[in-house]
Amino acid sequence: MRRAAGFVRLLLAFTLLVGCATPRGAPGAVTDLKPGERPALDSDEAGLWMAVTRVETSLKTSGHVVADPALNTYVQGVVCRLAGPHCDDIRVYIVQTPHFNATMAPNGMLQVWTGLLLRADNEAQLAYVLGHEIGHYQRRHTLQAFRDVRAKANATLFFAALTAAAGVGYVGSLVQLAVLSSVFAFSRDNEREADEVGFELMVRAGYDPQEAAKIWEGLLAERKAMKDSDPSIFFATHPPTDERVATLKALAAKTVPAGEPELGRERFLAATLPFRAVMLRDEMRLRRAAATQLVIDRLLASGAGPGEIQFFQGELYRIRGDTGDDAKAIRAYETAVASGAAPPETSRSLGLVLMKTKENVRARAAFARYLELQPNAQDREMIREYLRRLD
Amino acid sequence: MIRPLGLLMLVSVVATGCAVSLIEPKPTTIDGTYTVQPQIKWASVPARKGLEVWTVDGPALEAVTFVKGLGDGEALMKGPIPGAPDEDKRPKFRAQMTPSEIVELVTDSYVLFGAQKLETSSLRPAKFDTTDGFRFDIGWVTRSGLEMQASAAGAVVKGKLQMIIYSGARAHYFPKYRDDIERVFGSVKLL
Amino acid sequence: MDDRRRWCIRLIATGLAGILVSGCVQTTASRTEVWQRIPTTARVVLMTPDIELSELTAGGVLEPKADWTERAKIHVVEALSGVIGAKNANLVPYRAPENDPAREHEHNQLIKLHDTVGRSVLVHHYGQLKLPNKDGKFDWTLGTDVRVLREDVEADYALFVFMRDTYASAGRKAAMVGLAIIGVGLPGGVQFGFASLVDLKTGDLVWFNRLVDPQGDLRDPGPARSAVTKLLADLPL
Repeated sequence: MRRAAGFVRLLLAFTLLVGCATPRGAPGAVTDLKPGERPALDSDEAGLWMAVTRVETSLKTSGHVVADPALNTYVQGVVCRLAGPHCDDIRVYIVQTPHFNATMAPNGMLQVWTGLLLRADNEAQLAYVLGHEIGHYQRRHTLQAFRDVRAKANATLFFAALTAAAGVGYVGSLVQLAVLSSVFAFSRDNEREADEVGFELMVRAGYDPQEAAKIWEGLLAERKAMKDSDPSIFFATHPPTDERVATLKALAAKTVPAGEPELGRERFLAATLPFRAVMLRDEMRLRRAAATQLVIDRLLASGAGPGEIQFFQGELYRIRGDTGDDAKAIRAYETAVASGAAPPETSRSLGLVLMKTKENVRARAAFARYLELQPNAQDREMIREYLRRLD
Repeated sequence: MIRPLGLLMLVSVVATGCAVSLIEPKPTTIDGTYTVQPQIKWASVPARKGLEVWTVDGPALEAVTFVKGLGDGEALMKGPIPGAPDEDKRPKFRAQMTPSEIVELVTDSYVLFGAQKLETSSLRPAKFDTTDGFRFDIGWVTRSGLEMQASAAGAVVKGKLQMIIYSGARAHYFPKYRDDIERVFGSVKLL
Repeated sequence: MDDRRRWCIRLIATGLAGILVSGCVQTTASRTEVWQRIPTTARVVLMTPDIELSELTAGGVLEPKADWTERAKIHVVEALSGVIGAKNANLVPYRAPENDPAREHEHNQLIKLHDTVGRSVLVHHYGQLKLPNKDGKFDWTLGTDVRVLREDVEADYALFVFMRDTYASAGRKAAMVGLAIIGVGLPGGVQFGFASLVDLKTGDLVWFNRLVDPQGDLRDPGPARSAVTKLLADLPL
């Protein structure tokens, strides 16, 4: 019995970790979150925290988080530049998934999905999105939304949406996202407020506020290219109103940065370029060529590592396989190779398309080049088989 | 959100009822096109159109998936799948595909159905009985974070893709029947 | 697609067991399996109970409910401490390895594997998709990788408790009534759960019990206690 009693105490400690007494609401004005602040144990806010703590635990063990220390240090660094005294309260999780999303939970868990890192041109654009999320966090918008929704007796749906919004790299069907946005989409007022806070943080940290509108423009262009058929979890929670870009531009126009506004392009590229190939490969696997083409266009325009981008341009054509795509793919691969910095896979892909178009001599040369560049390629035996067939 | 039991459980959709049949260790015909010789008893669980799925402990733990004569323009997995794009938006097999492209068909399909951090390796030529075919390996993480592995063998036979994919949890289950499966792969006899 | 197929699809896709589907043979299997006497000196680690409550919407979508889950967890954990407290067991709560992410990762893979094994047992041993190759034998295991767990927690056995509960939304209930009039049955909501005892030398599941029959609303303390009591009724500790 004595052994059991000690155990029972520990088991009850479990209870405190996972459960709280019935939360009481605290109606009235919601004040800004202070650094290091924790909600009272029996408050509704604590209930909210507990719900997301569960999500955070499963996120940590999900296997979808990018563990690389350098990338994590970099993103955490940007967060801290923006968040100042709140820096210690915010935990960054980089989730490997090609969808665009950044989401901050009320307890300080910040997810940054790699689809976002692929689409930002520079640190200033990343800072806008992160600053916006920090704005929601500081102003406790999630708590406000919860109280509003609870007043309308929709609390259970809210939690489901919260869990979904904090879900790991998973976008879900259009129907599910519609449910999500009907409950969890931030109101226009909250969005405006988060943009204002985000701007303030951006500017205080020295970033160029004109970059904010650009990342939205990119997202809206992708949505248009996919004719609205592409589920976007970011849009579900941050409604892409027409006025948003105009508002961001107006905010930028009236903001006077102190000193020389930064883009932080070099730092951003240094941190993200090592992952770009993986991020692009994940993007390609989504098989949504119209949107991916816009991503590629932006990356080509930015000029960093064109060999790699031209390779993926070629991949887009090769995999899409419409009339005329074979020729376009070949041109893209050859441009990549000519740049001198194409990934070795370029020659393999080139070989595959040339083999398909029956240009055997050129195909052989491409495959041979691939094997020369990557003698330990995982598919070297199959490439040698192609070479034999082309003989 | 629907929490699937596992990627390959989604494969198991009832075609004609809830019947599970016993696969004896003797020559078994697949798709009327070839036979294989299993070494142990398996259970054939209900599967989607165009697929046959065998398991010992349950397909979420380990499964042998037979892709039975996939035709030009067809997707690997047919029918509605929760959380995945409609059939017309899924990658399709094309009869002219090289093994390199067949690997992409499989990997991109798996990713669309929820596989994460998917990597392929060891694509190599291999005989599918007398036909020139291929072998390759895959590793991925399910949505709930369980690490999985798979090994595939196949060939394009008379314009249709015949493929056998053995998959299982990296911990214990995938290694468990590896040897049996290599023998199954080696036992393929075209009719 | 006829309704029977649709229910079989959902059955398999969500890993739920115990739904009666017309046309599928349901044999009653014994609820509990015990294959080993556990010595009273054995150390048993209680893994963090895995509990989740969801709502089944009219569209057949399972939506997890965090607040319901939190309530159920409180009651289940209280009930667990009551039931286990009454036994003479050397039970220790699970603590993940600290400051060793690689080791923690291995632990988590085993926990996730156990989740999948447990669900497979529900579907294939007790449920509608029995595996004829097994011939009724219960030989599920986590494999010898459990040695990692055994070394780190210093225990001989691990006890897992797993519960899922779904409640039909109002929309769903309305749909049920509507379809019942036409003569089609719809499952209203399902409760399933299991507890298992794993031998940390071999990884074998040496005791397994599943929750049968809906126990009532787990968000209330009475039904939660009743569910736990039934689940651990013949726990060999």
